[in-house]
Amino acid sequence: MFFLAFDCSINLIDIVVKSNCGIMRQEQKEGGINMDFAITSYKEAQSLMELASFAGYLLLKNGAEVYRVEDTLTRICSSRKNIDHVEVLAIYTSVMISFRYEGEMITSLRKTNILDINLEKVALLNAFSRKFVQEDVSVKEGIALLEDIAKREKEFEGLKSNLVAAIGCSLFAIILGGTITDGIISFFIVNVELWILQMVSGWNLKFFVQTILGAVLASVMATTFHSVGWIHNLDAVTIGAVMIFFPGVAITNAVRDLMSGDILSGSTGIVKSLFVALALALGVGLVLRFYTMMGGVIQ
Amino acid sequence: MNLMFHFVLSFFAMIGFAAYFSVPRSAMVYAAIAGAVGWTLYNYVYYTHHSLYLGMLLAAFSIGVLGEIFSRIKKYPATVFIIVGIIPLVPGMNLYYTMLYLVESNTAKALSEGISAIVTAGSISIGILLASVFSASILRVRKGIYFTRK
Repeated sequence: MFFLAFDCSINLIDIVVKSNCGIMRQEQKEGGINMDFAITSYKEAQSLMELASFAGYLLLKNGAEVYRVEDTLTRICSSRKNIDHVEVLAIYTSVMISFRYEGEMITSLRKTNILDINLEKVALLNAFSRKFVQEDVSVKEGIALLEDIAKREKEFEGLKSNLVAAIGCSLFAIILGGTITDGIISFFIVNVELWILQMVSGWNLKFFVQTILGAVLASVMATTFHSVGWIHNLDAVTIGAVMIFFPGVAITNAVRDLMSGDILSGSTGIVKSLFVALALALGVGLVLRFYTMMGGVIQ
Repeated sequence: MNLMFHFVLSFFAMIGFAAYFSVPRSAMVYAAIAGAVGWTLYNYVYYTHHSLYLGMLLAAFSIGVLGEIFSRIKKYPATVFIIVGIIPLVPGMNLYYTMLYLVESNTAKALSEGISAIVTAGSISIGILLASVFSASILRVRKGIYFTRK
């Protein structure tokens, strides 16, 4: 038990310090991993950079945490023998990588504005990075593997994904105190609202406007059903209907980043999730105010 | 308070969210179990001890431990299970109420909701951090490494 406690404390320090220092990197170099794979030309080094930034882009886009992106890319780059001075900086919307190949620095920056959480791709990318580091996969093959991962289709796409999201949201409307009718109605509301958002996704709306639109749609439908008298608990239905937009995972990841020392990505994440919450509140608040003005009663 | 009700409903809700976030099909049930255990534990602790912080911490810790165990079984990274598991706990609702009260210019309520959002996010993060530290330590002790560091 004592050993366990001692080890816990060492590991805690390890995890807190890990993100800024190169401990993981040093461990890897001294450790048992075979380090014979080498880069042969400047051109190949450039393709390694392309591979790394592509992997970082995919990881960020599919919802991996910032520390995972930094760690994975550091491992990928420093797995080749004559690459050194590897530095990776990732924030929520972009990833910057630089390393040195035989005295020449190569740097790249890749941005992404879309966040489309797909945990299957995160798992596949994790397996890919482990394979790339431990086996002698050439850079060209690596890029081809990444493109295969990028092309993979979601299992629940389009209307099917609306359906599964609606199942989760409507069950939570029941858990939060709604009746079974409330659950069924919020199932319907989520389906319609996500469907309309998919219809307008071609307009390239910014996330703020898109979230306001979703919140307005959800609460307009909820108040309509409430005025007819089909809904008993308006609060539960509204929350269930906008639950899919809640920035909860983002703020939890952001606080975790702050605790492990990634101040930049932590504060960006908190500000972004505050603004998503503000957009939700503006949309819902506007409709509720309008509804009470029209004579609706919110108990 | 009906724990079974919470467990069953949140289990099926978690299956829905897991499918929405494209968790691989073979890991879906595990992710849902982690989420349902966390949510039920949070409700139990909250109703018996009335402590938001303790409930969130214990629930996040259990989700983290289950995530680590399932990641060893299914060979997927632990975050696949953890991200889905913490969805019902996360303080999105508190943030939403904060902003809603601010829009309605009810500052006192907005402040209290905002503080509980920060406390919730902090305790979930600490819970998951503790779980990952704990699992790494158990692994090292089982391998027989006590004091030396690689």
